[in-house]
Amino acid sequence: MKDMMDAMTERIHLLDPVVADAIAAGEVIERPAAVVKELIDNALDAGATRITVRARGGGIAAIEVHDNGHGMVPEDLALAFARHATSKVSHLEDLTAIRTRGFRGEALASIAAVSECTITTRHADAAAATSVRARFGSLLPPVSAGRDVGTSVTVENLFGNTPARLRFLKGERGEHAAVLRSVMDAIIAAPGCSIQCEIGEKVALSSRGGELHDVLPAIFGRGDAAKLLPFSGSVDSIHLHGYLSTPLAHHGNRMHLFVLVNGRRIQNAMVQHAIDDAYRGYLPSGRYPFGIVAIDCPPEAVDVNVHPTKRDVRFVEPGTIHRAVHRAVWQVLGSAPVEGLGPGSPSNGRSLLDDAHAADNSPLQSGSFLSESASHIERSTSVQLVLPEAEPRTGPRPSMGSLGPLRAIGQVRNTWIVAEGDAGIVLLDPHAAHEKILYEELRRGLADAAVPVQSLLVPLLVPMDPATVVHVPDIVPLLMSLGVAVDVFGEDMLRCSGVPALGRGHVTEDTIATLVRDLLDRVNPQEERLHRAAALLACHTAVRLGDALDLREQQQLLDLFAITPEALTCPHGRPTCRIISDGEMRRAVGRPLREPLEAR
Amino acid sequence: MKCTFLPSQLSQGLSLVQRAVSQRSTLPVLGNVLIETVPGGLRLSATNLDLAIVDTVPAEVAKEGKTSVPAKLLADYVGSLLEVPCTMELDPQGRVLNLTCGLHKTKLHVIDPAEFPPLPVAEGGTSVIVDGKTFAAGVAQTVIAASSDETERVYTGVRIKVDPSAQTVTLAATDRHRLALKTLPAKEIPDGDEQLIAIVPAKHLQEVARAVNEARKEVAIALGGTTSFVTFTVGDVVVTTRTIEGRYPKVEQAIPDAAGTTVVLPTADLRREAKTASILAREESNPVRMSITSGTVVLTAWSSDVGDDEVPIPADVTGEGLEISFNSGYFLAALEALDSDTVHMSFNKAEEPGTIRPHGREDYVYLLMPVLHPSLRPSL
Repeated sequence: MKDMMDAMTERIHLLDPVVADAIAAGEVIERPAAVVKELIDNALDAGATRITVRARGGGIAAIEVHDNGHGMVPEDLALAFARHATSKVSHLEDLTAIRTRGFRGEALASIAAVSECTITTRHADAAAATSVRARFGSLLPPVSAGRDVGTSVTVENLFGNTPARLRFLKGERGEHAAVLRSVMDAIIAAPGCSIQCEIGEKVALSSRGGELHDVLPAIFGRGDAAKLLPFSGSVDSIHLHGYLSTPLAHHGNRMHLFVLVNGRRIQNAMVQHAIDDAYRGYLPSGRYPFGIVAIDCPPEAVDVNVHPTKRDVRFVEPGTIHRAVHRAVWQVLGSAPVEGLGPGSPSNGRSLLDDAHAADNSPLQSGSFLSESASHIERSTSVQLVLPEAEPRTGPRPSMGSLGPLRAIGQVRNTWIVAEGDAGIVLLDPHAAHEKILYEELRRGLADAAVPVQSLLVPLLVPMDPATVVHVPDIVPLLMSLGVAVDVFGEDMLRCSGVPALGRGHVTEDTIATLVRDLLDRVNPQEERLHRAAALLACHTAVRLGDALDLREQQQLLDLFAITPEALTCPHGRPTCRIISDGEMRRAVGRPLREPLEAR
Repeated sequence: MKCTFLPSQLSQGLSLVQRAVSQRSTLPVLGNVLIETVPGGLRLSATNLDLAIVDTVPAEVAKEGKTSVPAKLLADYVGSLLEVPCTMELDPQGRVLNLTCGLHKTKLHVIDPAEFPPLPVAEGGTSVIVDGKTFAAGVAQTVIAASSDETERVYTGVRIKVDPSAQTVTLAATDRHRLALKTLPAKEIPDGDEQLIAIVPAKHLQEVARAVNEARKEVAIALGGTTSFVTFTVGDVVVTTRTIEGRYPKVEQAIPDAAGTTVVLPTADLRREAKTASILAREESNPVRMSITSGTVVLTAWSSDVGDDEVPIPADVTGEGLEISFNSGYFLAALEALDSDTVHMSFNKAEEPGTIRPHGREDYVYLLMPVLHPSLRPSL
């Protein structure tokens, strides 16, 4: 008998179906939030317009999802728990054009394999509801029940048969938060559906349904929702729309940046890179934008069947998507209102994507800022530059709303410049503003290798470690493109005989040393290094905070500021100015917003 | 302390010494001016510890004494008085200064003069005397080239070199981008052949120049002493400034001996056209280009945002033709500082420095490092 047992355990055999299901379920159902996601997906695929989600005990004790979809007929209900049973895909070719949210036919089977699951459903044509219960994979016979048209799924004692899984869960609070995130995803994916989520006895999240715009306060809170700006547009058959934060609002993490592809929340490194790249220089380091980027593309342009949880996708033409996302962000940056607060009106939103596309019919060709700059450098210096893999910047950089002409009033304590403009009183940080002006000039100059060089009467001698000096000849031409003339002067010394003929030209030995180290820092991609180099030079050549500027110099700065694109933030992403509108001022001093002319 | 004074005389003295008052000092007394009676006058002193200015104004002293009052307040007050004899008297406790000026009876709170720090002095060293007007003009012509960047302090200063063998005092300033060098003849200079050098903050030197007027015709410079201070005596005004420590580059060596191209033309013409061109250059750092051909200099200024401007100016050109660019702000500053009717410019190559001088004179040289354009860059 013992021998037989040994033989059984050592020899290869087919797994008991219950064991196999529990293993497979682990791939799809890794935590209660996954159950919620799958059940909401099913409800939405069933055409539900109202969904209620309830979770207790971290979703382990119980999860309920009730919907008013079309329900199932009793015959289908029997199959619902069977693995690879789905109403959504029949043929292999269907997989290439998936339009429903669920399709793998795994969800219910997986849930049933690791919980005690009850489905009560009534089809629109059926006279009564039917209920069926499965206990850790074994099906109990269906019984009649009462309910409206629609489906209710109750999942209890989740992972009751896989205690190992329970140990990896995050505790009640963490799991509740994850459940809420799943519900948020669903609200964004299907804004038209009224979705409510109750945690314990409390309503934690509620969306009454409507347009995407209407669900923003539920997802981001009222304050942040007001800082989101809409965008929309198309490139080829790819349509993008959504809402993104202005550069003056940002979060410490990416939790509130929702990327959707055909209504499905995904986490895709390429899309993320496109967003980060477009926001580069607008946000302080370590801060991230928030909002919703919804990408709609033909089903055949995207492979969603990459991961069991459908969390990542593969794009057939990643370059096009990258460019489209990039432009979408620019559209937001370009339409950011002057005060940087309050949502822009969607009706006014220019469709930059369409414009850009009209001007450029071959979106996959790289005629971009970076590749241009790189090719210029290559031509003039014969240095091989490493281009980033992703599609680089394209087209004209957008302007972040124009302040209009500004008139200098004066400078406060040799620090802030006070100016007046159409928008009201403008308080300017002269350093940050000048920095941005010079940064843009350097970027432009870098693109056509046209930064003029002010040669130095007394060269700067920069001591540097020999290990770094060895590599300096590689970047000499690149430095030259930035207007910095450097040569090696002994094994531990660099000599700088020219600095960018920009701004105040306060370039010191330290500036050159940092610049050289930044450009040699292979850890960062080329684009990041160029950004850093330009930002560093701009910072050091700009007017310093505390430099006294006469009225003429102030006006000069304001004139340049007014024509500099996206001048509202400095290259490090900090705001350059503060605008106090007439209305704000009136509120501050308690005057009526409008008063008759004769009133004093 | 009690005395009678004329508001205009006190006002003039205060306007000079007030320049050394610390605007925002943690030591309140540094915002004050020290007033002391001296035979036949009042001595006014102010200091921010790096710079001290002392002036003596006429007054009838009835009772000796000293006090210190807020400098700006007193200057503003005295500046607004009618020109009638006024009296100032310190109360016996030394806490309030009573001023009687016409119908005004004013009380000013004072700070104990004992709190006033001792004024810096230049001890020992040698003294050299130069003409006041020439000195003031020389300062104006050199400080324009000093740097405003406090991170390189040496370049924020003007180097004063006393050369007994040549009987000259030279002022030099550079911000690495340009150099202004002015040679002044010395009226009195000690014997010997040891050169003396001091680097003085450009701003402080301007205070010395400000003190020069019809009555104060000479400037005596005391330098090379045991302390790190230089004293300038301009008539009754004494300006003492801390020197800047550091090595100053041997700037004389930078001036080219020969020139391949020289241009001579009326200063006013070039100044006017350069000014017009600089409007197009927009930011001061934007360059102005000179295309020199036989008989003509074409000035071109441009700005990528605005457009460009081109103007031909007839000139007396010798040597080869040349195209060279300079920072338009630096170029204009040189022309505005020039004190001769005709300007003499000399160049060698587009990437080598150019010089601007008063025609026929060697006492002033303004050297400008060129701006190189991508098209002019040496091929790599």
